[in-house]
Amino acid sequence: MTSNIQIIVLYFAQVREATKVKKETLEISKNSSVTDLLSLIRTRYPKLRNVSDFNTSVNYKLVNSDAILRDKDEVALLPPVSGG
Amino acid sequence: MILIKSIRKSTHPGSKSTQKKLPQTNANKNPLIYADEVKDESIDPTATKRLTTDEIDICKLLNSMKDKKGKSGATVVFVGSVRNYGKNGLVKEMVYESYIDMAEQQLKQIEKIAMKRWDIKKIRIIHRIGPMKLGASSVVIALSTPHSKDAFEACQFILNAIKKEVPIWKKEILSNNKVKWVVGNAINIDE
Repeated sequence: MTSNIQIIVLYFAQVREATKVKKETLEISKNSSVTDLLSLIRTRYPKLRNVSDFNTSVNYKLVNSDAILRDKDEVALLPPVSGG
Repeated sequence: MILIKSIRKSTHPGSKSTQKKLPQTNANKNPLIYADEVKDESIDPTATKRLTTDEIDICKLLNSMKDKKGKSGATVVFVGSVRNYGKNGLVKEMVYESYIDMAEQQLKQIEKIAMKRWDIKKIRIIHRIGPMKLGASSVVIALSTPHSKDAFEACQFILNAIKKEVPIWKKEILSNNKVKWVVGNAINIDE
């Protein structure tokens, strides 16, 4: 029962509007991947399926979906950007 | 088997993680520091005030590019402004949102890359976030180089990088009161 880790998750723009949440801390099994986390997030927020695409960062770095998460990682869901 | 449990949920816009692996910024406390206010009047590699909710003082930024030693023969300042139309129609207001900590880091990285490619003597990039009226300055890129060709090229490079590498989003408040996110680029960071 000690194999869980805590992940801070941030939602932005269209993703935030779909989840209606800006930030939350989720608990997930140790050695879970980004894919595992996203799967659970999509289950929690079914409306997220309406958002066409987004990238994922961990501690400010873009990552692939197979990246393994560590305790206290800060994960952000980033829709296509439009600065300028 | 994955266990997910919501431990804490916050909708406060200023809420921040306590587990930062990178230095915290003071963007919300003192959102803007100009190059002429820091000790090193050339380049401020430690500046973390590249995003602000305040109106950008373009004249002050331009003045900060002055080089009394004459190392720079060219200064280019690009000002991006809120336009009254977009692909979704007539626009009456724009709202910018950002992942501030990551955006600060990315803007700093873009500055570093530009400084490696061109002979930049001074550089400042400031992007405003929050609601903005038509004509408001949303982003300013100011830089100086010995020769004008480098200044123009570097400025264009930086603007292009901002549009695809920095976590900033904008949505248009249209004249018919509909709200539309501007279709952007999948974030792609040039390491």
